[in-house]
Amino acid sequence: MDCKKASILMMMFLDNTISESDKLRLQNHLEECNYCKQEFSLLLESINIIESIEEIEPPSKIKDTVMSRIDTNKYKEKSKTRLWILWITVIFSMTTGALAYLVFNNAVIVKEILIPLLIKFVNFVTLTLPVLLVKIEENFFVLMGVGMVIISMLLSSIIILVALQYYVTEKLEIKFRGGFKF
Amino acid sequence: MNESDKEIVDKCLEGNGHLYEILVTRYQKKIYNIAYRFTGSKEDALDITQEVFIKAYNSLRKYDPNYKFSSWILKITTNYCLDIKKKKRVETVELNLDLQNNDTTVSAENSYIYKENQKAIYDAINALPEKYRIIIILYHNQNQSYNEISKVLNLPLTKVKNRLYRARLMLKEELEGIRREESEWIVKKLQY
Ligand SMILES: [Zn+2]
Repeated sequence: MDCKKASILMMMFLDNTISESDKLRLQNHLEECNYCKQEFSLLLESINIIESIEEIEPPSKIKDTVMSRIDTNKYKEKSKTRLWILWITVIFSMTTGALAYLVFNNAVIVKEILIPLLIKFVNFVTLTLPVLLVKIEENFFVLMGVGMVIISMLLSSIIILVALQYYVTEKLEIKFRGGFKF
Repeated sequence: MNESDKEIVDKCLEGNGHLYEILVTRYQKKIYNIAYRFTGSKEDALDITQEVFIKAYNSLRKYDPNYKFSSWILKITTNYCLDIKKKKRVETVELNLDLQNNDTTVSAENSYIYKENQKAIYDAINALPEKYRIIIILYHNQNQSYNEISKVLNLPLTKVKNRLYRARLMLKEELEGIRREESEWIVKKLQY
């Protein structure tokens, strides 16, 4: 047996996969070959030292640091959000479904109520719009005042809604997946 | 109390994140030791261990329950180790030997030899290129099988085997070199 083959057998020995007969052949080679003998003893020694390196105890603060740096509610929120999305989808699809059912099964409603209503609306707009425009011109400043009041009411209600949203997401820890974060 | 890793992962994913503590307790020693052997620094090992657990928690949904949790977290650890090594390749590894941990009953001479051997092997491990170092640590220090390592490192079995063989030879050569230096040093000392 040559040294190359012996080297492979040494590796198999370290892997614990060497057969008894190969072990014997290796042994025989080592007795003849000083180079391999030296090689094998150094190999064994290094592996023995690595394997006997004792484990050290990790610092006790690892657990606390990790637990303080993760969000233990991370997945709770996710499942809550999923529930929300599920509910919204269910309600939305049921409503649309019900509406579609009503419309298609009661063509009467469309024909006798919705269409006349639409006609009345168009009539109202075309007939009264010119008169209305004159009136608007006459009372421009009053209307502008009213408009500003309405706009400011809208703005303040938006602000209130945003604040409410903030309160809900931050304080009550409910998050909506993507978006909605102020 | 003795819930399996998978049960705990499931519970964490159901919103009981505080139970993750159990998994940290179970695997912190293993990960810390691998990171320590790999970096040679307790400070780095501490950082790596913490980051690995945080990373694992935040990607818990990606955990495939068909695999062992220990393999999965080991995979994250080895990736992380190899990654940070790439980033700070130039820095030399400073070695911290914790001699206080050694058995105090051994004689001074024995403890000196033990210390020297340990230091030699530490130096030798740290001198190995990363991809060889990680395999030798996993196989010979952490008792991971070839299959496990191949899974964890995403390498074919033959490659794992080849690298381990080469790593052993490199380690042997390192040790040989260190021994030669030592004997030269002793010879020099004797000459004076
Ligand atoms: Zn030979």
